[in-house]
Amino acid sequence: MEVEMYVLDGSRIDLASEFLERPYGIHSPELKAALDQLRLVNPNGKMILVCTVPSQEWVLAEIKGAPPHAVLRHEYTFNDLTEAERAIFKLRWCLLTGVDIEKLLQSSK
Amino acid sequence: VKSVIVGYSDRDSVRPGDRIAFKVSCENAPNYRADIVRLHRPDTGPEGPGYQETEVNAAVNGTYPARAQKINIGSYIRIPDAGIIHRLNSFTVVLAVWPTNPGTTPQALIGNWDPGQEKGWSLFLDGNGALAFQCARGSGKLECSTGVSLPPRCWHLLATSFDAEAKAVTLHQLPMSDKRVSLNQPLSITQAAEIDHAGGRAELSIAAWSDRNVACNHFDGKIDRPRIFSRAMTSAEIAASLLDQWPPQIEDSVVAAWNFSVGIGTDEIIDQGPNRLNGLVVNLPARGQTGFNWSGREYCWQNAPSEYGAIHFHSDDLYDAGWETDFTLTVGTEMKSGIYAARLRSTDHEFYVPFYVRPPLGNRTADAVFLIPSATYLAYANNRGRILSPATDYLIGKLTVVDATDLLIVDRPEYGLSTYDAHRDGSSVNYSSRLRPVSNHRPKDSDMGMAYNNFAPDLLIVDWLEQTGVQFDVLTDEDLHHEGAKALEGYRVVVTGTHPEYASLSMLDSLAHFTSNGGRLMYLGGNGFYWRVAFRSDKPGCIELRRAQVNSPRWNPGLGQYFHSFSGEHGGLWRDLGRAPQMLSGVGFVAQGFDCSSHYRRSDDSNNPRVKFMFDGIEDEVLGDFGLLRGGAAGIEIDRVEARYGTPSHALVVAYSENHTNIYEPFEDVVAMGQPLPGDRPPIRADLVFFECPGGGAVFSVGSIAYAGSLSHNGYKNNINQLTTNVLRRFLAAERFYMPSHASDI
Repeated sequence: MEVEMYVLDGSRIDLASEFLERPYGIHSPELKAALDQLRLVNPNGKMILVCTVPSQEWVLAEIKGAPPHAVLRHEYTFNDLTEAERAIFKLRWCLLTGVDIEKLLQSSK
Repeated sequence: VKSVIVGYSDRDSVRPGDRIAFKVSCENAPNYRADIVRLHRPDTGPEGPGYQETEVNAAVNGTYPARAQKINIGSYIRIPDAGIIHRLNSFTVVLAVWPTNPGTTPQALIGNWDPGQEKGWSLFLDGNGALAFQCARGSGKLECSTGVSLPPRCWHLLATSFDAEAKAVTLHQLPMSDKRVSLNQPLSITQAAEIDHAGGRAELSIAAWSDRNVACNHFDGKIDRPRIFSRAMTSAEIAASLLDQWPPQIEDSVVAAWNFSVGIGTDEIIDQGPNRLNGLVVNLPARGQTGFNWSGREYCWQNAPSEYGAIHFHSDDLYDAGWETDFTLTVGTEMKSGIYAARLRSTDHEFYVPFYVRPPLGNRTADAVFLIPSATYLAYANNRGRILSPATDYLIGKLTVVDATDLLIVDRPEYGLSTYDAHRDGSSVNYSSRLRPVSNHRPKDSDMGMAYNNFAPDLLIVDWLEQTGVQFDVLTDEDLHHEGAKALEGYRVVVTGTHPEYASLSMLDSLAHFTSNGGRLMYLGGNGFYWRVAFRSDKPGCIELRRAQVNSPRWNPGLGQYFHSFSGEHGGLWRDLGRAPQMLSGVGFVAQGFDCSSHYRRSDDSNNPRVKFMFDGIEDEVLGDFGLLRGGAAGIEIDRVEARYGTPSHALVVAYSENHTNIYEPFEDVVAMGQPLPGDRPPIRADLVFFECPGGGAVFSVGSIAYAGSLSHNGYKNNINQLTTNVLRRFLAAERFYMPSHASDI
């Protein structure tokens, strides 16, 4: 039996909406397949969150170079971990599909 | 520039009167502050009751001058008393080599080369991965190379032969048969040479260059049977020089013949030649490794030691950072048994060095004892993979969250690796030590639900114990391993941590002895008693872990290398070694997910009169639908019953979890059981289990790492706290438990 790899269609605002509504929890099988790919997207280095003020502030960082080093991107500073999940989901969506999902969601309203 | 402060202690388990030495490195600050604190509760964030520690009035509390201390990472061998090599005119050095990372930087094989003074001689792999030789010569140095790179992970016989009369050195690079088809060709080159022994060190080093205190240019790979002879030998003689029995014509010229298969479970390096040039390994290279002559007929080094004469050296092995002591605490009698730490603070950084105070010897101070899962702390110590692996978020279903202390191990690889990482050369990490700064052994964690810093969630259990008002002592896994069942004598209840994943045979035997002789076990975690580890009595603060049969290159210790060098025991999952966790605790690991936790639902078994004590004051059907660790009591890593692995037939599953997210992927043994039938409980679940043991003891298991995060909910007034406290109080009572005698009781 031939199994085809799941390919995320960047226009699938239904999947994006499902995640953005509930970043943590039981997701549909298709969103799970999409998330499995999105979470492996690391073209500029693995994305991590660096806590800069305990329980209050987190900054996006990318692991780059050899030996590896975390490069902080202060333009992505968050005060809520769930908001960070949403923001980085959108970044990864764009990296994987080339689609600005935020713009697409706005235009669909 | 921000200051950085880190440290460690020479021991972690002490009793009143004992001394514990703290070693500190502090950069970019003139001084630092140290205080001894007792730890009560981890940093729970705003959703929990908050962080709690109390300062201990200790004489060592104070301000200390800051200094940076360095770590010389990498394993090698020191042969300290090797002055005889200065008296050799002609000589031949031979060894079998299996390089794993050739062609990077020069990597030392053997010699007394002093890189600072450029004195002595050395056989090494040059920056291209070719066999090379260098030696002092007059005012300069001579260097020659075969110019042909060694292929990685292939055995070669390498030799240098120096003829003082002919004033020539010959390098031999000879492929050894390892049953694979190869293009590698034997190679010998000869070059005019003279060696000036003046100023050369009287100490030989194997697998690194060394100038007394600092080693460098470490070798990555295996070395087997290094030997030195007192004359220049022919190619034919060299080819015969690694045999078990030497031909008579070279027997008389043996200067040194190291046999690494002797003393595998020690640091000792034994020379079986006439001069007994014995030595020591530094920083725990892997021993008990297959040699150039491994036939595959035996898989245990004890059964065929002559085929296990290799040591695998790594440039990133580390046992002991070897720092100077900054201050030494004498544990006062007022320090009750519990969890303490040296709290180190520099201008803008804080670091904790936890330690454990046991009661005075022979005088337990409580009926309950908290078993500190120190073996698990070691297995995870400085886990770089969590931060660096591109697959982490995929596995855990959320973003990786770290802080500045976590990032220290990214920027400072000299702090060493965890057993979850791979060495620089791609091989598995078999050893982990606490004699170095450890970034994920602290009460304030960047992401407590990740089970990488297991210490912080364990403090949630300590917090609960303190809230109950029940006195408790502590002891560590390492204490239990070395002292055996005697360490638990007199205690009525053993309480575990949240994630007691790693256990030695002695630990399992001791706990089984305890529960079989009236003891009561409260297993308040998940993924417990899962992997086998080994300790060494002469190597405190260190575990060995061989994840045998694991189909992951970075974890698998390599074919024929499944037996621990420390103990000779087969490594791997206890489930595969005849001691599945279900035998001890009734439950065993089934799935993990780090995104969300769930709740338990009471089962019919919860109405059984045998567990009436457990549910006093609890009317709820749903338990633990709240908590600090991902929002529920059941989650992160979860266990369930499995009769075929040893769950007792009379065990009661009083509650089970449900509704886990699809990040909780089943492990292979769950898949093998097939699809659940309608009405079956979901295969991915945590089971809350109780059973009695012969002898009056009993076991209560929760099968979930997240469980401890629910204990403090709603000001400690909740059904998980009530349930757990009910169990603790009944388990502390003298009244014995009885095995159900009739089927109707079950």
